[in-house]
Amino acid sequence: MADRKSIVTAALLILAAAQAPAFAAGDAGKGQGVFKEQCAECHSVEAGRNRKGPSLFGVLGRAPGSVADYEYSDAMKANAEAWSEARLNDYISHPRRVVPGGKMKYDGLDDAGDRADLIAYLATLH
Amino acid sequence: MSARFLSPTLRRTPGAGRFLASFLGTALAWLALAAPAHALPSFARQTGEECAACHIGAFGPQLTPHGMRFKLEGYSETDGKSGKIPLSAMLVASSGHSKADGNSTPSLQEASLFLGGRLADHLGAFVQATTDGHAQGKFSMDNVDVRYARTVDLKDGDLLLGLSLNNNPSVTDPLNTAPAWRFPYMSAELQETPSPLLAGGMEMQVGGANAYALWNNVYAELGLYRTLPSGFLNDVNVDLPDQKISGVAPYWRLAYLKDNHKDAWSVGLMGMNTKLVDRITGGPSDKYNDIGVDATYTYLGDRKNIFGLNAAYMHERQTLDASDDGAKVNLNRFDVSGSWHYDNTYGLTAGLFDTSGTGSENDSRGYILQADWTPWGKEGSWGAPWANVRLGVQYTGYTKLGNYDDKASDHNTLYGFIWTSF
Repeated sequence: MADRKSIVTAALLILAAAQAPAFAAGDAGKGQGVFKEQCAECHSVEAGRNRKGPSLFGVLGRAPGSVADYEYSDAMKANAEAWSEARLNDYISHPRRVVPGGKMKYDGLDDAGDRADLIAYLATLH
Repeated sequence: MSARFLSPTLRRTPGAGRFLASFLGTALAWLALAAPAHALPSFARQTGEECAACHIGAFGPQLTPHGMRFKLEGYSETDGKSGKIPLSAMLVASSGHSKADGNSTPSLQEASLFLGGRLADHLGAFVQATTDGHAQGKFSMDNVDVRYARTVDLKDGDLLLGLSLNNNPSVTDPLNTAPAWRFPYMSAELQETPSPLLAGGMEMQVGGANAYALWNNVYAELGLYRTLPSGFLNDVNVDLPDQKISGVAPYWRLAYLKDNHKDAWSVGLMGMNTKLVDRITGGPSDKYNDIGVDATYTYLGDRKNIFGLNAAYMHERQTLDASDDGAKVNLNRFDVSGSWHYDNTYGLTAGLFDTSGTGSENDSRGYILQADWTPWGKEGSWGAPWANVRLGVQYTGYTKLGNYDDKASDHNTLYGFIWTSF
C-alpha cells in the first residue's frame, strides 16, 4: 500500500512539474540577451532610471504602477495583481490583453522559452 | 538626436539673419516657459532613452526600428515628465584632401541649431538652422519637419496616422534609403554627380504638406509640394531657385516595414512627378518623373553587433520643354551601403553609388569607406544624455565622373571629421 502511495505521489509530482510554468527553468544569462533584444530600448534595469517605460529593477513581486516618479496609465494603476512570475508571463505574452488601455506598445513575446529566460533574468534584478 | 547630416549646399542671400533671430526668439520663449533645470534638451532627454535606442551606432541619423517609430509618432513621445526643452545643437569640424582640390585645413564645416522634440501632445518638430565656415555666422533654414500624429487602437493592432509640414521631399521618411537620409550621413563637399530631382534637387526651396499612415507594417504617405514664396526664402537665407514648381508636385511613398526586434527588414517604393517652370516668367515646363525602389535589412540581436544593408534604385524620366527644346533624358541612380557597428561604439560602413543615363555626362560611379568611433551615447556614458560625439575618417573613390573632364580618381577624397551634438 505504501508503495502504491509513493507511486501515486511521485506521479503527481512529475505531473505537477510538467505543468509548472516554463519560466521555472529559465536561463537568466540568455534572458539578459532577450531583454536587450526586446525591452532595453524602453526599459532600464537601473533602479530609479525610467525611460518611456519604468525601471524594471526589482519588478518581480512589486505592485503594478508603483515605481516612484513614473507616470503610469490609468489602466496600469488599476491593475491590482502583483508582478508574480505567472503574471509577468501572461503580460509579456499579450500586454494589451492583460492590461487593456496600457501604455506599453509591444505586441508580445510569443516564444515560451524566451519568456522563461527573460523572467529568470528579471528575477535577478534586486 | 536626429539631424540633416549630409552637408547641405547652403543657399544664402545677403539679407539680414531674420531667421536666426526668429529661431533664437522661439528658443528663448521655450526657455522662459520651462523649468530652468532642463537647459538643453534633446530627443534623448525627452524620452529618457539612450541615443543607441533610436540610432544605430548611438549617433544619428541611422535609425533603429524604435527610432523610426519615434519619428512617425511625431517626435512627441516622452518619459512622462514635463519641463523638457526641445533644443539641441550640432558642430562639425573637418579636414579633407584630394589631388584635384588639394588639402583643406581643419575648420568648422557646419554648425546647426535644432528645435527638436515635443511641442504639445502628439505634436513635435524637427527644425534645423545651419551655418558653415563660409557663411560668416549667418544661419539658413535647413531641414524642417513639423508633425502631428495620433495612434488609434484597432482590434488587429495600432493604426498610426500623421501629418507633416516640411521642406524637403523624403525628409519625412523613416528609412535610411530615402534620399534625404542615406549614407554618407556626413561628408566632404564632394564632387556633384547627377542625381534625380527627388534626391535633393528641391531641398529647402519647397514646402510640403504630407499625410501618412502605418498599419499592420504597411507605411503609406502622400505629400503635395510647392515652391516656397521668394520673400520667405529671402528671409530664411535660402537662395532663390531659377525654376519653380508649376501647380503642386505630388510625392508618394509605400513601404512594408517588419520589425522582429532581433532583426528588421523593409521593401518600398517612392515617386514624385514635378513640373518646373521659370520662376519669374512661367512659360513651358521641364517635367521630372521619378520612381524608386528600396530595401533594407538590419540585424540587431542583443545590440552588441549590429549589421545593416540598405539599397535604393531610382529612375527619372525628364522631358525638358523649357530648358532643352523638348529633349528627353533618362537618369538612373543606384546606392547601396553595408554597415557593422560593435557595441554601438565602433563602426565600419562601405557604400557604392552609380549613376547612368542618357549621355556620357550622366555616368558616374564610385565607393565610400568610413570608419568611426562614437564613445558616448549609451546609458551611463559620460555626459549622457547631454553630449555625444563621433570621430570618423572617410575615403571616397571615383571610378567614373562623366561630368568632369579630368581623371576621376584625381577627385578621390580623404576626409576626417569630429561631429558633436549636445
